[in-house]
Amino acid sequence: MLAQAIGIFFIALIANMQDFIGSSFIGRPLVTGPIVGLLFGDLQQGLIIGATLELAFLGLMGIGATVPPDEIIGGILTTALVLKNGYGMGAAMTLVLPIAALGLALKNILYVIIFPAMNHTADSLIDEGKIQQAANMHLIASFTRILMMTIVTTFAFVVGSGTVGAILKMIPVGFTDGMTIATNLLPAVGFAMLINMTFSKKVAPFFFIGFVCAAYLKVDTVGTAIIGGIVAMIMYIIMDEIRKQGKGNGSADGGVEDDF
Amino acid sequence: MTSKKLSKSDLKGIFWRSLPMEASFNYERMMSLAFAFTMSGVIKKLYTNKEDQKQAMKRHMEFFNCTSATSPFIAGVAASLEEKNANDPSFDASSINAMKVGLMGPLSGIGDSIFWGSLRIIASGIGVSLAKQGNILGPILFLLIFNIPNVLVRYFGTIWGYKLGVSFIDRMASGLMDNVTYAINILGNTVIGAMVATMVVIKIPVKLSGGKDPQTIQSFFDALMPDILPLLITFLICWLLKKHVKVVYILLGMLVISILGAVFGFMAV
Repeated sequence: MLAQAIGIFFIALIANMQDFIGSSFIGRPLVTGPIVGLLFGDLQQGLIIGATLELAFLGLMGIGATVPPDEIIGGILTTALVLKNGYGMGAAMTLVLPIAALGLALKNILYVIIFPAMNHTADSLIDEGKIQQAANMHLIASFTRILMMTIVTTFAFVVGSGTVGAILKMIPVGFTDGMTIATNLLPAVGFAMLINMTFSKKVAPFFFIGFVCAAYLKVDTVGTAIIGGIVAMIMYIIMDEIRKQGKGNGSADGGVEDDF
Repeated sequence: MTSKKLSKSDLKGIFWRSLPMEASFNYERMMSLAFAFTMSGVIKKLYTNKEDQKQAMKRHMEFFNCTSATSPFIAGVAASLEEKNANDPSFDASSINAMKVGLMGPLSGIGDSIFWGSLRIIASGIGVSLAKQGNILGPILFLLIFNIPNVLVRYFGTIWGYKLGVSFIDRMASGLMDNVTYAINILGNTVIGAMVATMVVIKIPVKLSGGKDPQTIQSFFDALMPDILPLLITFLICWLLKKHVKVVYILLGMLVISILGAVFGFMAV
């Protein structure tokens, strides 16, 4: 049991580094399945469970700003519990989603509270001129998540599936739902900071072109970016013509700059 | 004036530093911490003055979100602009972030569809079918099919992004740069406008009237103008920030409202 727990700890540690090493999929169930299988002395079974779980997670992938249930803890823990307790595949499938959802709920605490706080620590480190320390906040944040998820995976394996289910029931729905609502709300803060930095009377109309394209016309972000690019080109041509005319007039009436 | 130039090894540094692009993702500024980390090496090389270093780091601590595989390309372009900014005092540094914002929309779209949409499906399709037969090549091929393009796009993306940025700047006569900056700002703000509408989501299902098909606060605002709630909340935060309300308080406030909203049902997931 101790050897298995230590094995799970190291598998989870490396698997959770997938986003740290170029989003490289080393934590996907298809990869962790056979490795957990090796740990329990049944590579074949691990491969097959991993493949089945991979299919289950195929439809769940972070696109744009959404984060799917955590496939890393889902894959490792489900494979391990099935191989350890001899559950069938049906039992495995009923386990995987709650486990992955628990993983997501825990990650959301980082994404909504802890990492934004670290952003602000980095901001103030920059203000103090500590450039390297500010950059290192990224590493601290990254390893906070890696270690947290590794420990949770190992802990959940040790206490077993029954206890995990009981813990899941103890978390109030209001809290998890509130976190999900916050994940949809918080990007507004990032955008507001961006707007305050780049906004001016001269670009305001174009902000609303983008907004209307997305809100009314339901154009996706790529489409809107293409429209924005075309509008930018048109404005560039117009501004360039004015600049050339300004030059022409300028040389004609003695170098007076035309301020438009 | 001695001109500062980035070397190939600086660009390789960007590539290596960009690998953990998604590792500190958060809902406030998404991948900003990772982007600042990616740029920190070249920033320290390009700017000798501490104040310039601070300004550059602050720029890259602003909101950033893109598919992680296509992000190094943006970092390459940003590096070429930082290089220009370090050498040319008349350069408008705000165009650096405008360029980033303008590029992240299209590159997310392309990156998501290529990497998450196509490549991942191909890799898992082949990997899963082999693994189901108990063949260990399944997971191995899965990793190779996905990661060879993944690493190549990151590496060459960094280098091409930088080269593209440099050649673009070189071709620009000095007087043209203001207009180019303006055009980039237009593109950037169009994308911000679209992202406010698509990525900020607020649902208020509080009923205003009874009956079979009751009007809710949500449907009232939707009828007024779609996505007006995200727009209003974003402008409200802009205003609060202008009033020097600390961002931490705004974040905490939104968190408290979200949890209260879920508990009392005036907001929905």
